[in-house]
Amino acid sequence: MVKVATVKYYAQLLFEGFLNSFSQIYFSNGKLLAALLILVTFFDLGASFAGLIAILTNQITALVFHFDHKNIREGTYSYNAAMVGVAIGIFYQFNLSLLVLLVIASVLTFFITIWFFNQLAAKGLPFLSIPFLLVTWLIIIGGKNFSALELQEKAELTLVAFYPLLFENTTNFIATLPFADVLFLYFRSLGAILFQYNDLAGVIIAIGILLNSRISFLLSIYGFVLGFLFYRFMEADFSHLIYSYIGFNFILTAIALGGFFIVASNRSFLLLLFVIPLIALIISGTHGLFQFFGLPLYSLPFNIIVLMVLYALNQRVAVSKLHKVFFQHFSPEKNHYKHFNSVERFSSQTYFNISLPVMGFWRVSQGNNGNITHKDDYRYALDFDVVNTENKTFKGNGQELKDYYCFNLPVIAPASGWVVTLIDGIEDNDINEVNLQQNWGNTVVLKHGDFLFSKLSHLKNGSILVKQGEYIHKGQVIANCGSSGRSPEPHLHFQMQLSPFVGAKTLLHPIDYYLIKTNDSFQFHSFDVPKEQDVVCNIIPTPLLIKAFHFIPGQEIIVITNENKTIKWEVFVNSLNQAYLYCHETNAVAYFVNNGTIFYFTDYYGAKNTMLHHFYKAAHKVLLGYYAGVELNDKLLISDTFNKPLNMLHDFTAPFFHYLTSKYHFSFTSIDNEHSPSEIQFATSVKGNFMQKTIVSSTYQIKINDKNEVEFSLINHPQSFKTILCKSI
Amino acid sequence: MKTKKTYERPLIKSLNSGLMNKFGKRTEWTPLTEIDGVKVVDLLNEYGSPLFVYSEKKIRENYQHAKRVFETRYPKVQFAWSYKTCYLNAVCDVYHQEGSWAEVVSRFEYEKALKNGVPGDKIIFNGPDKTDDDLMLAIKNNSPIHIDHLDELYRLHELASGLTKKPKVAIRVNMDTGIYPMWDRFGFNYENGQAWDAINKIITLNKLDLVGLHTHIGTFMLTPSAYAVAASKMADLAINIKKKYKKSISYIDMGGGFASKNTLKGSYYMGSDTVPDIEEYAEAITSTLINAGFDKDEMPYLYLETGRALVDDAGFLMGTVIANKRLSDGRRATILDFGVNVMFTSFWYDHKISPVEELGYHTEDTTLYGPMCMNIDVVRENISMPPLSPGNHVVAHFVGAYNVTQSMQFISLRPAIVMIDLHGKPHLIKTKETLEGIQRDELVPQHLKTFKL
Repeated sequence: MVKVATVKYYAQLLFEGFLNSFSQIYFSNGKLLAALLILVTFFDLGASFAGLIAILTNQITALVFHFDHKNIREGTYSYNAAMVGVAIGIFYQFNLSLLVLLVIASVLTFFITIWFFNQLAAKGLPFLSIPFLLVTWLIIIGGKNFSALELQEKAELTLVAFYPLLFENTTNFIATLPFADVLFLYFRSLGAILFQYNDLAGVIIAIGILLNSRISFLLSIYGFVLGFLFYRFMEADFSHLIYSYIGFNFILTAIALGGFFIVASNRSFLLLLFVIPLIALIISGTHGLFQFFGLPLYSLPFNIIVLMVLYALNQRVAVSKLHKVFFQHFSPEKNHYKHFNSVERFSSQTYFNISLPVMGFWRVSQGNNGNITHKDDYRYALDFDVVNTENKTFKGNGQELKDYYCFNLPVIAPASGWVVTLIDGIEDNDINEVNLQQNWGNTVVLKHGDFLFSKLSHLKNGSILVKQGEYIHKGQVIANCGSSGRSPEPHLHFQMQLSPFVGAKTLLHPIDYYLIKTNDSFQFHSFDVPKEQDVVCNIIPTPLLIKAFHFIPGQEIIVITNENKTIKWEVFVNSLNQAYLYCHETNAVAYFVNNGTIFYFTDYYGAKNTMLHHFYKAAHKVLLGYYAGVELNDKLLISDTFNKPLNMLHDFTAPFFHYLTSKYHFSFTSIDNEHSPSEIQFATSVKGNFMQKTIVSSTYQIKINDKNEVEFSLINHPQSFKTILCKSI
Repeated sequence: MKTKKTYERPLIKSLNSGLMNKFGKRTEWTPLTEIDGVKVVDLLNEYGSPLFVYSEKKIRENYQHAKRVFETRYPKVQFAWSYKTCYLNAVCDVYHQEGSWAEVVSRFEYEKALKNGVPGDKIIFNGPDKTDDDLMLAIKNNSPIHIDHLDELYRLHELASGLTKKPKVAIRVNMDTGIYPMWDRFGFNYENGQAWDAINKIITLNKLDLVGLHTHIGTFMLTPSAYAVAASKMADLAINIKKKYKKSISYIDMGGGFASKNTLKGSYYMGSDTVPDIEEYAEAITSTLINAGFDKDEMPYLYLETGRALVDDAGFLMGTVIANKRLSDGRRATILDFGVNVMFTSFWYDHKISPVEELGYHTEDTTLYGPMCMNIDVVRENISMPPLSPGNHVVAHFVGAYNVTQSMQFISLRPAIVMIDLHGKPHLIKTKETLEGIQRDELVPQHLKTFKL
């Protein structure tokens, strides 16, 4: 017996896939856009019916062969079939033979899709509309062989047949507008993507694109105008553009390269300035050739150019300003905002967390590019020593090693790893003596991963506690600070390198999290390189904070709001090992990371202003070690703070500059007992700024206790609330 | 210009050939003319003689140094200023400004700390003498109470049974660390299982919150390795508490006992040569704790109640020569205006004493006596000093610890105390005792008030 839930699941899967098949054509997964596009295909009933059959066949094929439901849902397999279906439906009269052809054609589309999908994905490329082109051309050529098929002479079941005035009026209205000739071409080109060569379709699609994505809309105009101007400037044959309104290639290419596959920015717009004329060149070059075979060009120029440009971008040695989209959000806006947000938040973050190799506050006596010895190959090294409040490194007259504050202090592993190289037995020098023969002195090199090593040098003779080949844990004491090798006074030399050899050149690598001490205050730094003279210290986590923000997969969190409503959240981990909180009520999802020093949210999907969204904002970045006075700053997406209209307005200029920002601030307020706390409070705020001026702000207060509860409240807002999260054990 | 040379009385000294005699090594003729830039003579002129002087600079330096020494070896360290070592408010406040908590051993000290503005949860309440009232005050203020004996433990359980909040407690543990004498009169013994008995009682009765473990293995400890033994036994307790009861101990308090650079009586070498540096104590304690096997995220705090080693060399006692005389055996003797009544520690140490004025470098063996009319009032039995004349001044070093708190109003009044701040400005932190002040609390029955002589 088939369960109702199963039927519901498949119905939903196919329906969503159906909608997305249309919106994917315009690089989106917007439901509203899909609805408008379907509306446009309904201008020709036959075409819409054919499209439906094609998509359904495609989806059933995918299901029968057990393909990934995610791709079915996203319409990835079926958007080419949708275009094939609509094209055939417009081309031929509807009869049984056509139905058979449709089914066969969409099965073929599916297989071709799978082939191109995987072949190109391996090269990091999309398959665009290649399957559609191949299948449609095949049918156009082969269709002549099938006498059972009849060409559609005059469309009967079309909207234009019933309401011709609607179309006429639209056309007449556009004719009254300035640049009417360009507008006609633009709208018809937009419609042409769905084989609707009329203005009404174009207008509806344009509205759909605008509502769905401001950047796409901007790009569609930008791309089209560029192409148009190129034709005009070159005094090219405009009949190319009018014939099947091939100008849509400009539009598709502009959206694809301007914001969909490449993060929208002034650079992506600049890229289009050069790429769009290439499209024009290809149209001019291939138009005649294809006409000879009676084949329309369709989206061939777009496919060629987009693939070529993306392929070329993949081969770059370095990426500076033109960024490919790594995780596709099906929206140029989301791609843009999330890219720049994560660049700002995480670009300095490294895969391996390297901490300071010492305990307590040490001074960077020579930083990167120091003017004593940190030069050339060794420019990314750090030297550490210990100073008193007067910045002196020794007590007494400093004539003996033991007068130096750092001498004999423990040196710890900056990260877990294996001891790969070990030198011991070199005498510590007298003060001001250097041993140039054994430059590095007693040294330990740790291997943290392939091509990532750390080296600790000038260690005290006989103080090395570890053995060659031993695996040691982060923070483990490995030796004591000394003054062996080229070391006129005791200090620790620390560098990251790519090879296990003593004397290997240094690698620029940040320290994960540390505090800088200035007078009596501490400054928090993450993934940064300490500067010369900085007095730095590792962060010591507070067990209570770690426990409060330790969300275990499978754990349920009961959220009790001040109206005594309860909401259930649950902790999950996806296949990429990313942990997230899932709200059972709103289906919202908030991704988070807890690395033992910092808890932070990375992303949020779902409705705004839900409890989970508030928590995502309130605890956007939390320091897990209590330090009074330490402040953390971070950024959120502007969509986290501003309402929809402001956001949409901002989208138009977003590729070029951001006049809206949302900023996060964190600081501790109180602790009931510094050493065995049972309650810690901190305050956070999220501010939405217009230029420099704050126009929206939320202030949160968060209280954690030793009973596994997190209480958080919004305090400065008309909708202020107090909510308690209770974690199951 | 011709300056008049200082007159120095002639002295006859026997010449010893061969090895230097025991006085010869400790010739104290280098004068100490100023402290932190302030002339000793000026201080004496302004505040009278004798006079205690504390150097704020030295106190801060000592504290910062000790803190650095421990914090660069162990991630979580907290010092608590041992009030009994020196509870002058000004001195305590310097430590509190530097971040030190308070460690007290009586209600009087407890209230002193509270009045100084130390939050209750940052006052460690030690000692064998705590009344119910004292305990209730400490519980109310959330102070960690270090339990000394089972009777105190029972009292606390009774007091805690009526409360909603569990009092924070630690037990004091005594143990054999290989040194003599073994301090077993305080706390619960480790070796014979008393400590475990107390721990089991506290945790199973579940009325008190066992947050820490405390030990204090002795005083003026010259063997740092004893601290390694103590730390390892404390860590063993903490780790086994975690194992047995799944309870993490928040701190291990290693007490005090670090020696200062003073010279113990009867010691052949000078303290500055034989006393271990604070680094050595730190090394012994921290390397033991780090390697004890604590869970990385649950390393206990290391509490230290260091007193003497932080303050001894920040205190000076200066005074004036009253007279010279010759004893029956021909030895020289000099009488000073301060004695054991204000410098109690001269029973323990051979204090370094420097002249203030530039005197010659010829020295003679002498005995320094205090001003009291008591035979015991000996400041230094034997010292080799340049010939001192009445009116000359001297300064006793390393008197910062225990002298102010143990000084007596005996025969004479206690002197004023001055602290020199970081900018070299002296501040009077305690005025010289007055007759009125001493008699303020005295009551005379009416029938004794009149008499005829």
